[in-house]
Amino acid sequence: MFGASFNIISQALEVYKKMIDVRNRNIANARDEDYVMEEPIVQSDLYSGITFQKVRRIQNFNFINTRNEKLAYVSYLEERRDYLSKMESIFQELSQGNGLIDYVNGFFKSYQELMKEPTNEGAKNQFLQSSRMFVKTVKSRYEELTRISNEIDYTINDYVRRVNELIRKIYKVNKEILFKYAQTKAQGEDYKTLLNQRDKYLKELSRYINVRAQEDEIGRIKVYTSKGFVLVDFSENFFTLKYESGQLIYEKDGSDITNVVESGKIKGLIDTKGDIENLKNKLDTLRDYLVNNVKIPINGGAEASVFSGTNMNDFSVNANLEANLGNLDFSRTQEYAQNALTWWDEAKNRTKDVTNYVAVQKSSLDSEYDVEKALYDSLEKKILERQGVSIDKEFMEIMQIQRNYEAVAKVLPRIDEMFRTLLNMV
Amino acid sequence: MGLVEKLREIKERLKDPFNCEGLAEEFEELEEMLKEASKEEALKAYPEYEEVKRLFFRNIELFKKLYEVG
Repeated sequence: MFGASFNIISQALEVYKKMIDVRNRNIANARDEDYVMEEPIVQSDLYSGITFQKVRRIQNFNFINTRNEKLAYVSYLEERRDYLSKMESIFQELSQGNGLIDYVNGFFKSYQELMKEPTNEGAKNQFLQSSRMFVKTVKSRYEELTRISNEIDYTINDYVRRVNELIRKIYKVNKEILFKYAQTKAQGEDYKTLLNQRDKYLKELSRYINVRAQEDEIGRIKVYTSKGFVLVDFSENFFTLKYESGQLIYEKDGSDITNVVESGKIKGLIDTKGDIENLKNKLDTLRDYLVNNVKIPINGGAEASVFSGTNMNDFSVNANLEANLGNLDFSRTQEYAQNALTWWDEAKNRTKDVTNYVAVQKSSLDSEYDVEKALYDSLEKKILERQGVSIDKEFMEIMQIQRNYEAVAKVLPRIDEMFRTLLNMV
Repeated sequence: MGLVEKLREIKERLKDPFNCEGLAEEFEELEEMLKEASKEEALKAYPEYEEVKRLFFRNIELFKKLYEVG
């Protein structure tokens, strides 16, 4: 009898020691934002005394998934915005006198001057110089875009390598969770450090690629991309990715998942490559227009192109331009000065098309970023707050949210109606 | 405060879906302001209102996801 009581007391002491351990761990990790607060679950029984059941983590996995989803989108926006800023500085439209449009204007002004004074040697030299500068500028912008695109390929490869590393780490943590579960089941399943590590890796992975995770009853996670491409599963498998010839490949079966991925840094870079291709095409249409339309009148009723080239690599000032300038047909210079006004307008429009593309994309991403980052911060804050929140308090909070949103939902149709009435007024 | 400013204020609040204390009162104030508004004011404010509605419904969708409703 005495022996049994002694057992109960020593067992209780052991349980209290474990409870103190859990509480201490909470205090020690209070400043670690990846740490999830824990609660010891203890069962009391009249005959056998108290037993340690398990350590419960105060965590709602829906919050983790939604926060990670937002993190992926915010990272996507950050990556694209950073590169659009780089492109903005390539075109230097913000610094007076160095923008592409300034070179277009410089070239056509010198064209007009030459047509006004075709015998003026100074005007000829100025025209030659501004033609060369113009070609050099368009080509250098194009080359700079190609350089950025290559840099992006390198960065995507690096990001994919990091994704694969994280996939392996999650796979390893899943295995350790299973092992620790089996090892500690009898003493209360205490392997929460592994679960914190798991969450940390999952969050890190979400920066690169949008994933969803599903948690099983012991805490292992199955990680998959949009449209269900599994990266880590419960049955001790993991599947890596590779980036090849501009495509993101799911190595398990070679599927191209470039368009399956919806957000994260990798998608941000893939879409930035799309932006660059658009810009290069726009520069190419400008080149094409200049080569095929901008001419000077030469003797014998003929005309000569100012520029030549079938693509950006061989785009140049016509090799005979200097000779042709010595053979200008003075009787038609006024007519060509008039024609050049149309070419000038069209070249300006095509140039603005390039610079506006960057500005419009950036401004739309900026305002989206503002909204999405606020939501991400709010979810992150909520997750931290919830770590010490009891179920009762959480329930109260949900009730309050519901009350507030329901009240708004009642006012909203009335406001809708008022707007309709006001806007239909004559 | 004008209609546009009021809507911008509500929009800022809705960016944080959990910041909902007194939200219904804000909308009631908006309703009162609309009663006095001219067509020009309404026209100017309408894009902001669309944005407010978008954020409101986005938040509802988010809560459904977070608390597994529906």
